Amino acid sequence: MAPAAAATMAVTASGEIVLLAVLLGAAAGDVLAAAAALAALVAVAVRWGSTSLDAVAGAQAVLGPGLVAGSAAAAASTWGAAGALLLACPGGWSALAFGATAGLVVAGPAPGGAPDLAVRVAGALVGVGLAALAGRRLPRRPAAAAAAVLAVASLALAAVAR
Amino acid sequence: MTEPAAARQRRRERKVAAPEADETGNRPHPPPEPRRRRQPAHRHRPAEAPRPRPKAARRRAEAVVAAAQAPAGALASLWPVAGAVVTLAWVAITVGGGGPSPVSTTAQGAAAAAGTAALVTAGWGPRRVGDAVAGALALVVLPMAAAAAAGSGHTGLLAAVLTVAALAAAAVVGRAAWIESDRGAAPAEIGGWVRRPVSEAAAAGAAGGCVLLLAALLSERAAVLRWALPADSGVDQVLAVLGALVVTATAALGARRVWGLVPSALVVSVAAAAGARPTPVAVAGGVAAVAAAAFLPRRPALSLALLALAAAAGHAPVAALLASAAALALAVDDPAGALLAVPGAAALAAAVVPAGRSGTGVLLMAATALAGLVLAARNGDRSLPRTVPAAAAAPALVLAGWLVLVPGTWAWTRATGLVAYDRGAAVAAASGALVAVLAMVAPRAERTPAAIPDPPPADEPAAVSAPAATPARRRKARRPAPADEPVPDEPGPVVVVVDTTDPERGQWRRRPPPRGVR
Repeated sequence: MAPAAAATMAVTASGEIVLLAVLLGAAAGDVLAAAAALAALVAVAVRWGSTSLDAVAGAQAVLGPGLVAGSAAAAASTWGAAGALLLACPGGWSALAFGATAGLVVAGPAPGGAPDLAVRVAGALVGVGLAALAGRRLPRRPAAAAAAVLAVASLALAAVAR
Repeated sequence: MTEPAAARQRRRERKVAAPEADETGNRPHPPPEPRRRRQPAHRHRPAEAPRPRPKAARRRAEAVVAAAQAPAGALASLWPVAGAVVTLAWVAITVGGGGPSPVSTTAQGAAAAAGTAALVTAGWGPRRVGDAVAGALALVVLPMAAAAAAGSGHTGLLAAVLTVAALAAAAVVGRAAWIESDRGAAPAEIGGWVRRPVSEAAAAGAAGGCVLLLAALLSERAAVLRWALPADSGVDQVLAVLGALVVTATAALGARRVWGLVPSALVVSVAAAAGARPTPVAVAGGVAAVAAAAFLPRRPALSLALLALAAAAGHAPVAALLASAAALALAVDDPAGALLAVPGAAALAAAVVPAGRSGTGVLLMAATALAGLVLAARNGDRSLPRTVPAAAAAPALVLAGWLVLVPGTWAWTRATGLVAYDRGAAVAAASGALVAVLAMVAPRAERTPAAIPDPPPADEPAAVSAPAATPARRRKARRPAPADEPVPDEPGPVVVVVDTTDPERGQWRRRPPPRGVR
């Protein structure tokens, strides 16, 4: 249930980052991966200045997708958060949740028109594909450890960019 | 007679009393004296001093005792209903913003009363008529005391309740100690018309916590000359916080009848902690919460209560949400109760992140996250037994569900920034419920007989290692085993079972035969 709930929240960009982090942690089934997901999402919140997923999507609709908007530190923080989410993915159905969340982080503008919608759909699809690949190919513990390191770095970069 | 002469005389008497030695010189042991059983005190009562008691009064007392001992019967089945009605009434007052009530109170007070009523319902569970009567009294009086304390800050009724609770708990401890010293038996083995509502250790904890809280209230009354929540004096604050922690720990460790005191204790302690300096309180509370999560992982209520106290100084709405979570986690009675802290954590993040750098807020966020991760790590073993809540816990579970799913409607907490949380929780709950329904339907299709591979013939010892029931694998499975296939160590037939605990269901595994199978 947790992967489905998290994926729905990420795809619709509705909800709150702490709740999404808890659902991703439950989907991960591993404390290190859950910690990485939590840190990555807190980094996203710090980077955009809001814990609301609607606000994150709205800001990207105005300022541009997260992977290019803002300063270099802010963009790097976004990349790091997305990478941490992909590495924390345990595979299986959880790839939907982790991939959709990573897509929302880097390219998830609120759909104000066809271009925004296309960017968002592409981001989600690429994210899910990469998460499935990471979950299948990478060994779990090293990947979760790398995700945690990446998430902490992303959090630090977001704090610097603030 | 001089002293050596007396000793010689005693030796002589013992020698006369001793049995004769046989021809080998061995003296047989004297037969052991029959051990006297210690009699209970009432049997030692001297006959010449009977208690003067009129026969009629004695008969009335015995009738009351017999009535109190009688099984609750229908009262026990009515108990959850009565608790739900009282809880619902207080919830209605809360939603109405206070309004008319037996005691003058606000929405916050009514919310505390609703939580108290739900916890009394969940924790009491009367089995005898006496229990039911005491429970009914608690169901009426305890919520009123909590409402008065949390609403208008008047703690007189709460002080009276704490006094009675402390005396009752001390009586339980004293009675158990008296029985143990008098009869030399374990108190648990001895029945009596006074039913022991909680164990002795729990009663001692409850008594200690109530005394500490009472001392805080009395000290505050002596300082400000009226019944009020402790807020100014450092001694009062420490007493209140310690008392609340003792009561919460006692309740979390299984003393169900103490559950009803927890909301009031948290109200008093959060008010006391709110008057302290934010950063030291946040640091101390956060560290203690993480430690409690590490040492009591299956009892998250104590950790949540400590987080609430940590947030009380700088973030009152967050403290209210976390204190509610701590109280309701008792009724959940499962490690999953830690999830009740998610709304409080979300409110904290919503307050801290947009505001930028806030030392206390960041500390609280880190402590909350760390405590949550520690709880998740320590409760990761899913083979541990899960508790099934009783029917009496239904009101508290409804309140818990309300807190997790729609905390934005808990206006009395004055928490802001939960609109997005409410929307996301609704989306998550809807999709999760849909997937749960699909998951209940889907395994039936997978478990049809066609999907499960046939067992191999009994005369084929080295049978199968087929991960799925494809036709090719079935043909391969029916072939005789090659000569170089390793022979199992155990003699006798190979028992082939379906290992349903294997994640890849349907795999054939060879197992040694169980004992006695030939």
